[in-house]
Amino acid sequence: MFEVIPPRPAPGGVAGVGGWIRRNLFSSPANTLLTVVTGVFVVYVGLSVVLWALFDASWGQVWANQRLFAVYRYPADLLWRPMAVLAAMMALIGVMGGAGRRNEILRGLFWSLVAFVAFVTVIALLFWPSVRVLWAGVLAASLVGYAVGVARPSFVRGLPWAWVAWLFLGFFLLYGVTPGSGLLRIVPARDWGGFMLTLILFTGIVPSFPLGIALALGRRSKLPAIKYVCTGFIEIVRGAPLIMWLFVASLLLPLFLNTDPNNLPAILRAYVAITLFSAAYMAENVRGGLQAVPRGQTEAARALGLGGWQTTSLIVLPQALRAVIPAIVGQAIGLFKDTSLVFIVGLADFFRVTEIVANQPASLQVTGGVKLELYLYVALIYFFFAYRMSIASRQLEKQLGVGTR
Amino acid sequence: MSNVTPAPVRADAPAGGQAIITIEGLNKWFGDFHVLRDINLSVNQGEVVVVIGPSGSGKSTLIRCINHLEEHQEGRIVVDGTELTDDVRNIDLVRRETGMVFQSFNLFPHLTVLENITLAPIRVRKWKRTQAEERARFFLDKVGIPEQALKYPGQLSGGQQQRVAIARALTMGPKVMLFDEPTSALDPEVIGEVLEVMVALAQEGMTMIVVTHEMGFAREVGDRVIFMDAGQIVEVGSPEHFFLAPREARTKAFLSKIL
Amino acid sequence: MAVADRRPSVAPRIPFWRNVNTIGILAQVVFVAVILFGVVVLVTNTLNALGRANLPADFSWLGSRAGIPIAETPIPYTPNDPYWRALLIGFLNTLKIAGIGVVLASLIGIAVGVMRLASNWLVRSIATVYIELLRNIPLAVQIVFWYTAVLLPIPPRINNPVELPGGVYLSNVGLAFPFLYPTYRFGAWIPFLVVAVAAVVIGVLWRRRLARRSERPVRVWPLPLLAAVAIAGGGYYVASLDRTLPDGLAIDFTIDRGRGVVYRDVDGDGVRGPRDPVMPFASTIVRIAEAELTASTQNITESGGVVRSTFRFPMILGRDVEQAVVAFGDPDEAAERGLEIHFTRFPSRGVVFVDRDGDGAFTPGEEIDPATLTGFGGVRLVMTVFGYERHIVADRDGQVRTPAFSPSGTVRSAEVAPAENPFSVFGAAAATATRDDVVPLVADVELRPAGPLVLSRVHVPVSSYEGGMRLTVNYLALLLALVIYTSAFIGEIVRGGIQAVAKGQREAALALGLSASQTFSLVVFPQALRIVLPPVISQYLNLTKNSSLAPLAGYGELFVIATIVQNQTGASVPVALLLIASYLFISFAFAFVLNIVNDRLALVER
Ligand SMILES: Nc1ncnc2c1ncn2[C@@H]1O[C@H](COP(=O)(O)OP(=O)(O)OP(=O)(O)O)[C@@H](O)[C@H]1O
Ligand SMILES: [Mg+2]
Repeated sequence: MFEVIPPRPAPGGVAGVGGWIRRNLFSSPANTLLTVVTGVFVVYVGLSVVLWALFDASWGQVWANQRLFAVYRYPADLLWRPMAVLAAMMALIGVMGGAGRRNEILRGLFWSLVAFVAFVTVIALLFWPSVRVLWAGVLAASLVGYAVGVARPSFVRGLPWAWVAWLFLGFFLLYGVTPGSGLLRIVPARDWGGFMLTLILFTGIVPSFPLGIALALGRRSKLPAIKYVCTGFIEIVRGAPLIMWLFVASLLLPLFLNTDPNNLPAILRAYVAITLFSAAYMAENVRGGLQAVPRGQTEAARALGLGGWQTTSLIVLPQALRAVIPAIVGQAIGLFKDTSLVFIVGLADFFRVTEIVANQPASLQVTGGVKLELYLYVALIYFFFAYRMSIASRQLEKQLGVGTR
Repeated sequence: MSNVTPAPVRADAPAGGQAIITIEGLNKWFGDFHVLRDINLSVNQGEVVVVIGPSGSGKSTLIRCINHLEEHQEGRIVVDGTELTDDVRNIDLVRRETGMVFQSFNLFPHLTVLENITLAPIRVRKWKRTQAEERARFFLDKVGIPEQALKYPGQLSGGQQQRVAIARALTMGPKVMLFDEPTSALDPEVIGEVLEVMVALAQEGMTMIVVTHEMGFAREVGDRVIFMDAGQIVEVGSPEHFFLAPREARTKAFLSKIL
Repeated sequence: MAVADRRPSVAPRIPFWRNVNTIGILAQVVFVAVILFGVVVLVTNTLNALGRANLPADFSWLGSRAGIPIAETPIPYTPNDPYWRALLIGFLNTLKIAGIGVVLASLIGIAVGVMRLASNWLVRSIATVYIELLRNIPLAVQIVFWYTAVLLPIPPRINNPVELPGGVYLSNVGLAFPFLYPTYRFGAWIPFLVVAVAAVVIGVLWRRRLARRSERPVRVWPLPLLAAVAIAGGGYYVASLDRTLPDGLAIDFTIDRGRGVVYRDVDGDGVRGPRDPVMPFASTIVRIAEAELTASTQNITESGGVVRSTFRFPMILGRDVEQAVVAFGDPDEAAERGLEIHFTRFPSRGVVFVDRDGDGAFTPGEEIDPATLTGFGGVRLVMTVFGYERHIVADRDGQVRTPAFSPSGTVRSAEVAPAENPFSVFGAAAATATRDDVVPLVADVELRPAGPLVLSRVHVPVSSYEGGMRLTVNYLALLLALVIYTSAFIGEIVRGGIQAVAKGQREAALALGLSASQTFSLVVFPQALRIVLPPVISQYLNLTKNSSLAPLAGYGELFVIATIVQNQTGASVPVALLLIASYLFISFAFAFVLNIVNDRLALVER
C-alpha cells in the first residue's frame, strides 16, 4: 500500500553549518592540513595588521591633512564652492537613484554613495566645525534629489542635459568669475587638487562618451577615408599608455596651439589627454556592442523608411550601448584608477597629495615614517569606490545576461 | 557567356491591370557570383504574387532589391512610378511605400510593441504621437493582439512577434507588402495565425509579393506563382498550374519535394 | 509598361548630393578636408612655436653625448654615450621588466586562478580577497607602496646584506644572485646550439608526421627535446676541452686599490693601452698570502632602529680565506677601556662592548657606554687575513674587484681570540703577538681557462654588489607591483576560463571513464586555454604598457629615459614621436602574436 515517506533530515556531513564546514574545510586530511596552515597564516597576518594599525601606526598625519587630501590648496573660505558642485552631483545622482529605485543596481550604487557622504558628515559634525554645514548640505541634497526622482521619474529624460550643465556650471563655480577677492574670486587651477581633482579628471569620461561613439561609428563606416582615420586614431591612442599621452599632451598641446605653456593649465592638458584616451577605449567598447546588434535590425529600420542617422540613433545605438554597459563601467573603474597618473604633469591629485604629505616636516619627524599609513589610507579610499563599481558591473552583467528584454 | 543568350522568362502582370511594380532586365552580382539573372517581373495593383524556389535561388535577394536593401547592378526597378536609381530621395520614397516582413521578425527589442509600430510613422511620416498610436492600435487589433501593445518583443511568442511585425509594416500605409518567408521561423502551431492575417490582407486588396513555401496560402489567395532557380525565373503561372501541370522538369522536381 | 531595353533609357539627372554614388565621396572629401585643415593648422602652429622657442624639431641631437647616468644597463653604456644609446637602454629595460614580469605574473596568476576554484573555502577566500583588493587599487599606489614603504626602508643596507640560500643577496641596493654568463669560449658552442635547435625542428616535424600516420598515440616533443639536450650538452663538453687562453689575455690588477681589468693585449706590448679591448666574464683567481683590512666602529641608524658600536669590514666569507683574525687597532687603549669584540657575523660584522656583567659574553646593552649613553664609536679594528683566495668572474666591463687590502702589519694591533663567535666557520684563531713587522702586499692573479659559460657569484667587496646578476630595488619594486597587479587580472581570467568550460564537458569526460587528472589535462585544460589565451595576451600587453609607471620607482625604462632626454634637449616633438612609435611597435608586436594565436585556436576549433 502506498504511503508518503516523510522527509528526513540529511545525515550529518551533508547539510547544515557543520556539513558546510566539513565539506569546505575538512573534507580530507590534506584539506584539513591546508585549512590549518592557511588559517594560521591568515590569523597571523590579520592580527599583525590589526595590531600594527591600532598600536604602532601613527595616523596623526592622515587625520591632520584631510583638507589637503580633499581639495589640496583650494582656499578654505571658498570650500563651499566645490561642496556646492558635489552637492549638485549628489542631487543628480539622487534623481537617478530615485527614479530608478526599482533597479537594484542603481539603488545600491546610490545608497552606497549616500552612506559614504553620511559617514563623512557624521565625522564632520563631530570633529570638523568648519565644514559641518557643507557636508550636511551635501547629504541633504542627495536625499532631496532622491525624493525628486521618486516623485517625478520623468525628470530622468532631462538628465543628460543636466549633467552637461553640471559639468560646465561646476567648472565655472570651481574656477570663479572675478579676479581679486570676494566670494566668486578666481581660484587658479594650480591650487586645485586632492580627491576633488581626481573626481574632476574622472568626469573626463563624460565627453569621451559621445566622442567614443562617433569614433566607433566612424570605424564601422563604409567610407574608407572616415574608417581609416578613425581606426588609426583609435589604434594609435590605445597603443601607448596613458601616462605617455599625459606627458606628450602636456608637451605638445601648447605647441599645437602656439601658446605659452603657462596659458594652458596642466589640468586642462591632462583633461584633454584623459578624454581622448578614454574616447579611444570607449570606441572599442561601443564597437563591440555595435557588432552584437544583428543586421536584421538595420534592415528592418531601413525597410520602414528610417534614414541612416535615424536607424543608427534610434535602433542600433540604444541596443549596442545597452549591451556594453558592463564594459563601460569596467572602463570607468580603469579610468578612476588611472587618474592617479597625472602626477607626471605635476598635478596634485589624491594620489600625489600623499607624497606631499609624506614629505612634510611633521611627517618626517615621526620615527619610522608615515608612508605606510598614508598609502594604506589612500589605497583604502580608491578601493572603496573602485570595488563598489566593480560589484555594480558584475550585477549588470548578470542582469543583462539573464533576461534581455 | 555564349553569344546567343537564351530569352529570359517574362513574368508580366496580366494586361488591363495597373502595374505598381515593374522590374526589367534585373541583374545582380555578389562579387563574381551572379545571383539574379535577367529578371523580368511586373505586379499589378492588388495582385498577390507568391515566389517559390530552392534555397539559395535568389528569392530573398529579389524582393530585397525591390526596397533597395540590396543594390542591383543592371536593369530597372520601378515601384509606384518611382524608379530606383542612384537618387537617395527615390530610395527613401520607395521604402516608404513598401512594407517588409522578415523571416526573423526583426522587431526592435529595446522598444515596446507600440513604440515599435509608431516609430516610423512619427519619425518618417511625421505624424503626431496620438495619431500614430491610434493607427497602431487599429492594426494591432487587426492582427489580433490589441492587448500586447505595452509589452516588449521578448515577452511575445514567435507568432505574436510576426503579427506585430506585420502591423508595424502596415501602419506606415504601404502600397506594397513584401514578405520574406514570414512563417518559416515559426513553430507549426502558430503558423496558422500569421497566415490568417496575411490572407485577410490579401483579400482586402493589398499588393503583396510573398516568398513562402506555404502552398496552401498560394492556392487560397495567390494570383500568380513564380518559381525561381539559380537566380532565374523558371516558370510562371497560376497556383493551379503549378499543382496540376508544371511544365519544367526543375519545377516538377522541386514541387515533388515540398508538396 | 513595355519597357524593353535593359538599361534605363535616359538616366534622369540626379543632383550629386542626392546620388548614392557621389554622396559617400562627397562626405569623405569634406571629412578629409576638415582633418587636413586641422592638421595643417596644428603643424604650422607647432612649427611657429618651435621656431620661436628655438627648440629642435629634427633628430640630429640623437648623436650627441647624453650624459645621463643609468643604474641598470643590459648592454654596456656610459654617460658619455649618445642619446640614441640611452634611449635604446631604456627600450631594453622596458623589455627586461616586461619579459620577466609576464612570466612571473602568469605563474602567480594561474596559481591564484586555480585557488579561486579550490574546494577549500579558506583558500578560495584568500584568492578572492587577493584579486579584488589588488584589482581595485591603482597601480601607481601599489608601486609607490612597494618602493617607498617596503623595499626602500625594510631590507638592510648594502654593507650588511641578507644572504639568502643559494648565494642570493638582498639589501637596500637590490637583489643579486649567481648567474651564468657567456665567455670568450661561447663561440665554439654556438654551432652545437644551432644543430640542437635544428634537431628539435626536424625531430618535431618527423614525429608529427609519424603521429598523423600511426594509429597509436605518439608523443611529439620528448624525443626531439632529449636529442637537443644531448647535442647541446655534448657540444658544451667538446667546447670546454680546449683549455688554452685566448692570445694576449691579460689582467691589469692594482692590489692596493683592489681593482683590476681583464683585457686582451692586441698590440702585445704587455701594457693595457687604449686599443686593447676589455674581456668580459673572464674567470680569474686572486690569491693574497697575507693582508690587512681596517674598520672603525660607528653608531648608526638603520631601518630597524639605532645600532651602536658596530663595525663592518668588507664581506669576507669563510670560503675566501684560510684564516682571519680581528684585533683592536690600538690594543693598549682597548685593554684599558676593557673593550671586547662580539661578532654578529665573523669576521666582518660585529660590535665592540664592555663585559660589564662579567659573564664572558656579549649581553645586549653592553655596547652602550654608560658614561655617554651612546655606543663606543671610532674604535679602530684590524682584520688580518691569511691565504685569501677568491674565484672572481670579471664583470661585463672586464672589472675584477677585491676589498682594498693594505699590507699586513701596517697597523699596530693585538690578537683577540674570536672564541665566542657563534657564526665562525673557522677553527681556533691563531694567536699573534702585537706586531710591527710589515708584510709586503703581493697578489697572485691567475687567469683561468673557461668553458662556454661561467658561473658568476655575487660578492660585496665594499659597498656594492660585484658579479652575478644584479637587480636594483627600483627594478624590484616596479616588477613586484606589476607582477602582483597583473596576476590578479590573470587569475580572474584563468578562473573564468576554467569555469566557462561547460560542466557537461567535464561530466562527459568523467562518464567516459577518464580520471580526474585526465579530464583536466585532456578535456578541460585545452578548452580553457583557448578561452584564456587571448585575454591573457592582452594582459601581457597591459603589463608592458604599465611599465611606463616606472618614474614612480625610479627605474630607467623607455619612458623615464625619454622624459629625461626631452628635459635635456627640449626636443618635445621628436621625443614624443619616438615614444609613440616605440609603444606602437610593442603593441603591434603583441597584436601580431595575438593574431597568430587566434589563428591557431581557430584552426583547433574546426
Ligand atoms: N550579402 C551576400 N553576399 C554574398 N552572397 C550572398 C549574399 N546574400 C546572399 N548571397 C548568396 O546569394 C544566393 C541567393 O541568396 P538568397 O538569400 O536570395 O536565397 P533564397 O532563395 O532566399 O534562399 P533561402 O530559401 O535559403 O532563403 C545564395 O547563394 C547566397 O549564398
Ligand atoms: Mg531567403
